[in-house]
Amino acid sequence: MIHLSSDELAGVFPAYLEVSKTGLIKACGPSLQRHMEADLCGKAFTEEFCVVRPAAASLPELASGRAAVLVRHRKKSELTLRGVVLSLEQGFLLLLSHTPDLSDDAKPIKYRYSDFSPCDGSQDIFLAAQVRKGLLEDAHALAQQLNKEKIAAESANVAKASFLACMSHEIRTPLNGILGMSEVLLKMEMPEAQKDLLKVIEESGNALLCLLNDILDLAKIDSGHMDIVETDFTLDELIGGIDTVYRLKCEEKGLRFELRTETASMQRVYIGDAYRIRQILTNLVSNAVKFTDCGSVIVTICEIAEGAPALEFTVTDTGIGIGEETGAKLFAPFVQADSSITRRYGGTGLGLSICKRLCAMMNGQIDVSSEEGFGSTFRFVIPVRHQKRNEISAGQSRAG
Amino acid sequence: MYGMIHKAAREFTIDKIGDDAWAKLAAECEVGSEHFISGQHYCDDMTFRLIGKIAAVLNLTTEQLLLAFGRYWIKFASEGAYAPALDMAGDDLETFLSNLDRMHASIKSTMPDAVLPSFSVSKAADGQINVTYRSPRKGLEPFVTGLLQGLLARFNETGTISNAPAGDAVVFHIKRASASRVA
Repeated sequence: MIHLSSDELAGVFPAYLEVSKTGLIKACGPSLQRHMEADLCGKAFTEEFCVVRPAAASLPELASGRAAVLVRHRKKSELTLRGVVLSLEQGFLLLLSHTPDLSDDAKPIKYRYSDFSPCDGSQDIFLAAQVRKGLLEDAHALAQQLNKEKIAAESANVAKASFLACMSHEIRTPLNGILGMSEVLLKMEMPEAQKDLLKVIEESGNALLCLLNDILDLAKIDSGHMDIVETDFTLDELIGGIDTVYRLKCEEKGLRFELRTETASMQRVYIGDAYRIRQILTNLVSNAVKFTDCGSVIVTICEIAEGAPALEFTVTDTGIGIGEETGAKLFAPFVQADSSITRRYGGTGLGLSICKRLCAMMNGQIDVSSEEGFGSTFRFVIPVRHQKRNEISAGQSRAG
Repeated sequence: MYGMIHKAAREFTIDKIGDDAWAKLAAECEVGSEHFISGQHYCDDMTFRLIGKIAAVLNLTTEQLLLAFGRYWIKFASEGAYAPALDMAGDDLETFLSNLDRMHASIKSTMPDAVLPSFSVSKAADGQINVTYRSPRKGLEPFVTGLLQGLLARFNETGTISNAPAGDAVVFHIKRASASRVA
């Protein structure tokens, strides 16, 4: 048997209560007293506290040794304590611990560590709940701040896109003048040396025009000013120009060019944005030719029908390929494999970003598989519809 | 260390040199983000890199920075997510210091990866307070001095703090000059 002094008892159970046989509080722990406005000693236990568990237990029942109790202060109902009853010759002892109310609408009690027994883990739970509230507030504040920054960034992006679109348009007009005049001049008689210089002007002008067109497209997409315009088209119309131009370019580079299509697809009339589909395909084929020095460029087109019909395009080359790290960010604007690629092959790094966005606008998708040094396969799928009339409607043209 | 330390370092630095300078400093330290999450554990290397950089930018020695940051920490922690942990420790300096170990034991339940120091309080020969500090982290004595200065301020007290090594511990002697306590 261990005998504890009142100080020792208070150290282990800071919220203890000693009650006489007649029901008067004889002593109480410092924690209970700290939360009370007046001295508890000498007051009737049942006037100060109600016994929640065991429900409606009388004093004799409590004193007879019902072990587990839950009591609540009558005036400060937020003060709830649980513990055990020990019978004494002259009454009984309630060895109690605070039971903090963790609900959000609970009246706050200013607990101190000293309110809890050193062997009571509920203080940790209480503190954890308090800290969790604070952390959630922190997270909420951070989310709000990030959202604010996101809105500001989006707004700046729209402003930037509008500015780029405006500038690109303004630059393109005089550039067309320069290119037009270069073309006219090139048809005139002049010394070869001057003609060579003029060709440099024309080539540089065309490169600048491509760049401006890309910027304009990207800006239009970013600012939501690009529309998808659906028309009737056949695959023959879609790929005719690409086949002619890039077959020739491949021949010039000594590459094999193949275009593989299905007979059934070639005979169909589709509904979709042929202009944008051609833009994506042209970009991918152009890249394939550009980045391949030997081997082949193979384009395949087929219809896939998993539910709704869609056209699947793949462009496979035996070119320089793409490293794993670059592949992950390849479709982001201004990304090329590395800066030496830009120097060697030219280009803006906007093409694939535009392709990805155009695909997304047409509810399609684009991906790439590649091995550095062995080539790449770009694949994109665009949902289309079948035109039931087996003819192309006349008079449809692209606006803007 | 947990993100609350980094958040405090961020606020401390912004107070001194502003948002833009902080953003530049954070980028140079490669901390990954200008924002930290209180309940997230970050590697010590990054924390010390950050502290070193802040000291350099503020033209302070590491010791001077730790001292100032210790003082700031008490103010910062009193207002953030962990304010309840501090409030529970007590309403006067001695009680608060006596409960530091209990506070750290409880905080450990919400920050399981935290490496928290241990403090024990005793009465010094001159009747003042001795705080014995033990930590697996070395070299943070100026930070503890700052913390104790911050606590004196929290309880509207003034005083001087000195320290001396004692075996594997460091004993901080708090000589209180006045005690206009807040109840």
